[in-house]
Amino acid sequence: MELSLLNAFIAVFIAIAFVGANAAYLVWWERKGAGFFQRRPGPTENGPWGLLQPPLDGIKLMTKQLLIPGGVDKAIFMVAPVLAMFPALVSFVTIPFSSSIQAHTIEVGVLLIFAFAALGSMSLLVAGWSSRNKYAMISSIRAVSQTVAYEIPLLITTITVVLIAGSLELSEIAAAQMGGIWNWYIWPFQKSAGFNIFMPISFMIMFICSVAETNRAPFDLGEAESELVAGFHTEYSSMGFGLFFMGEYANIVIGACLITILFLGGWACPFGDLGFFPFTHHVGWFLLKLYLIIFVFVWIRWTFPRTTIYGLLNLSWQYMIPLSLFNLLLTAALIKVFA
Amino acid sequence: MSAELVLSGVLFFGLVVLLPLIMLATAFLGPRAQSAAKNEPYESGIKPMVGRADQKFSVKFYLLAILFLIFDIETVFMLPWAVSLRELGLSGFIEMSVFILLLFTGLIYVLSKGVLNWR
Amino acid sequence: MADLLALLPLIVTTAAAIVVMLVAGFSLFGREVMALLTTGLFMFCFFVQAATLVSMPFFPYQQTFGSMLAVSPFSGVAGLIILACGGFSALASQTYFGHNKGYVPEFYAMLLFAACGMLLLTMAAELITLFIALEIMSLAVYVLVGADRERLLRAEAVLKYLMLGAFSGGFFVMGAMFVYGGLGTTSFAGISRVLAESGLFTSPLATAGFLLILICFLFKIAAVPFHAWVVDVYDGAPLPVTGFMATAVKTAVFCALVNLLLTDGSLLSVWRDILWYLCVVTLFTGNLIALGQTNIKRMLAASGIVHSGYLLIAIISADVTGASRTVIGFYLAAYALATLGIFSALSTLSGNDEKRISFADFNGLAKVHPYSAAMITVFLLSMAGIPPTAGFMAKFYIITAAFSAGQLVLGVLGLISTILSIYYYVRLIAAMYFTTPEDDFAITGLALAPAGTAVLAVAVFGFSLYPLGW
Repeated sequence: MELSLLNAFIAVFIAIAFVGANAAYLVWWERKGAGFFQRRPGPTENGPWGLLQPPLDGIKLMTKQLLIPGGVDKAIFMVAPVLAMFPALVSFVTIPFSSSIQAHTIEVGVLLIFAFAALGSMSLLVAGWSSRNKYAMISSIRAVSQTVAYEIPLLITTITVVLIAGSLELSEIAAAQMGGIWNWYIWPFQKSAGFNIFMPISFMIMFICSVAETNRAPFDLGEAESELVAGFHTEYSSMGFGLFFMGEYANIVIGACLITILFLGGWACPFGDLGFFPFTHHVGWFLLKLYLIIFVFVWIRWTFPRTTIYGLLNLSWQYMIPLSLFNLLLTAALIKVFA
Repeated sequence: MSAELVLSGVLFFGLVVLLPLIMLATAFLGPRAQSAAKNEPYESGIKPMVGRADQKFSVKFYLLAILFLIFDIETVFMLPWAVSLRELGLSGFIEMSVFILLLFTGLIYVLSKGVLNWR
Repeated sequence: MADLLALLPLIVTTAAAIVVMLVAGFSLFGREVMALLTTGLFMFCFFVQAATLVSMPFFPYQQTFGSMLAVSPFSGVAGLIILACGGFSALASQTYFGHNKGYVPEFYAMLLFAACGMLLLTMAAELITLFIALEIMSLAVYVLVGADRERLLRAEAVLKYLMLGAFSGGFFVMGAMFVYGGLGTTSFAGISRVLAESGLFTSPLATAGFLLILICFLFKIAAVPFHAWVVDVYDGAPLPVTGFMATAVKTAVFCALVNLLLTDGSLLSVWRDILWYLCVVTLFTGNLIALGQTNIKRMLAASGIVHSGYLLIAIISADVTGASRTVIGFYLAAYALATLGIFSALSTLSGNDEKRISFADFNGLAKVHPYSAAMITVFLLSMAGIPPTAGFMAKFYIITAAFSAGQLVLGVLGLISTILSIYYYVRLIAAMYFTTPEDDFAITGLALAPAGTAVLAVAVFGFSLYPLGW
């Protein structure tokens, strides 16, 4: 597909629409999921199964007052929500949904996603700092130290996968896992990984870190509502809050996409190359895996109680980082031995 | 060229136009009432009495930030190494192992000094 | 592999530093054992360095690691001096922390890390490597100066040193950038080659860059006009650290400066005139500051400025042959012996919280501790350049080198400065011998510094007999 200006804009609009639709309906999905785990129906009033709830929520947020309390740092205060949403949008450009559906192939796609993820944690800090609210301040310090702590094992585990695939390009990493479920990097004894037995542990680290990076329960110390009101976006109303909310869900989608591509083969069909089956390697598989992972995120959120901030930070610095570093070195050594 | 085009397109629409527009839409659609109560920081309806927003916080977070910086730089060094490990030969592996072990020793030292001991 | 063998002393020192850091982190050993361990490690590194120096077939400027580092006999000797300084400072700090507060176990790890940076500095053959080495050294020394946060004097010293040191580091990086922009290379050999072909002043960028680099070096060796920090910082630092800074840091930085200037001499020929004036000003300003001091530490700091001046004489009158480097190496070694000796002795005698530190505090020391007084006298005479000490031979070689290079005026000014400096050195000797004691000069606890002091006192005489082939 030749990339022209028109194509680029279409790709951008599709990315934004995808993010927007996902963010909106993931809220519905989360509320329905919460209802399911708590044996209640969830939203039902608007539309069949409450399906009209997200657009109506959007309209409600739009028509509320965007309140800027006295004493806040106005410019930074207004920039923070945009900064929360923006990196998630940009990251979608690099994500390959199938071998042909990708806004643009970028050779350092992994690096780009992590760079923008770091920008996202900036928005937390800026929002809490500019709000001039004790709760927002405490929350942003917590949230940033948490994202920062979990970014390292996440990156190191990603580097382990990059090591095995030998590429920083997401579509190449996914393409290296084609040909059946047994070729996915989640399983131990991959030949390309030097028969590393610890690949499932890598996957677990990646999964836990993704939950922590997106500030979701049980790691939602940043917005622990019983202690910190609403966390760093306490002072935000209307679409300011809305953008934070959408950004959060967009980040969840990005995290799930990364896990899908790095460990679950991206758009690969689990049964290998079936010549007679038309949907062998299809975007459908990608979306299936993506929403399965998001379902697990929701499941975890409504099942586990919240941890403490100390336990959370210590988990990363004392266990996750040494473990992921060890795994990286082991993988490198095994690749050296067997390749 | 095309990569820059796509990225700048997203940057333009995402950052410069669309997101601020969504935020500013509320300024036209929503009410514009102001009152003294709306001007205060939100503390569950109670007047702020204890502490300030710009109060001091634990120096441990600062230490963690420095620690993060070191390890983040480490991973930046590891990325190009990971891509070209197969071409680098044994010396490439040994050199990176030494680098990682050195930084890991630093982490052990930090843990031994009780930076993560929060009590 | 040959590269790694040439770097073996540095690798061993780094490993030792990491081991000591971990030992300090887990508080495995007490204060005394840490000092002994560090001294032992420094001795081991010293022997590794000596073995490497002797066993390797040396050519001038053997390039290693793609000409990032260059190992030469000069860098090897400088490394030996640095490691010896580290060992004696560790020994002195054992005694010093026996009667002074502010001990942290990481002190010894920092000593070793600083030595790592210095060893790297002596071998750097390229501006960026030089900067990294400079910063490794400087960061460790900042910590050494200011580890005792409770005392105001230390805080002041470390603040001054850190701020100005950071600025000088910034100047260096900026200068390296300009040089790279102007000449297209950062390696010493490349710089010399380009300068020999086209001359310095064809590139204004490089001219500015070299000026900035010169500023950084002048700051680190405490030459006038960048000397203002040195008295306060030396005064504020703990005594063993002052000794370490005065000797090891100076050795390392001078070694780097010589490596930069004397690669083939084309850079020196440009800088010679600037350095000439700076050298004269350094000699006499240093003397002037030292004359007015009543505090021994401050006097020694100011005399350190003067000694930098002598070393600048040696650099100005140097040519590219090995003989000039030998003269500089000899002076650095002789100066290190005497300075370490006196700081080692002071570490023992200064008492609780450095209470005995001015000239008057040492009144009549010879009556109470005749051997200590005698050894201090030996060190002071060596610094003043009285025969038959090593300091005399070092000054003799430098002045002779200046005369034979045609720098007559500089040589004479150096002699005048030597005569001036005798006053403030002899003042302390007079105080020790010709007054009655008011103090009992009690020394408490296990003290190893006197042993080091005795070794150094013997070495001051022994080293003067070292034949300098020229």
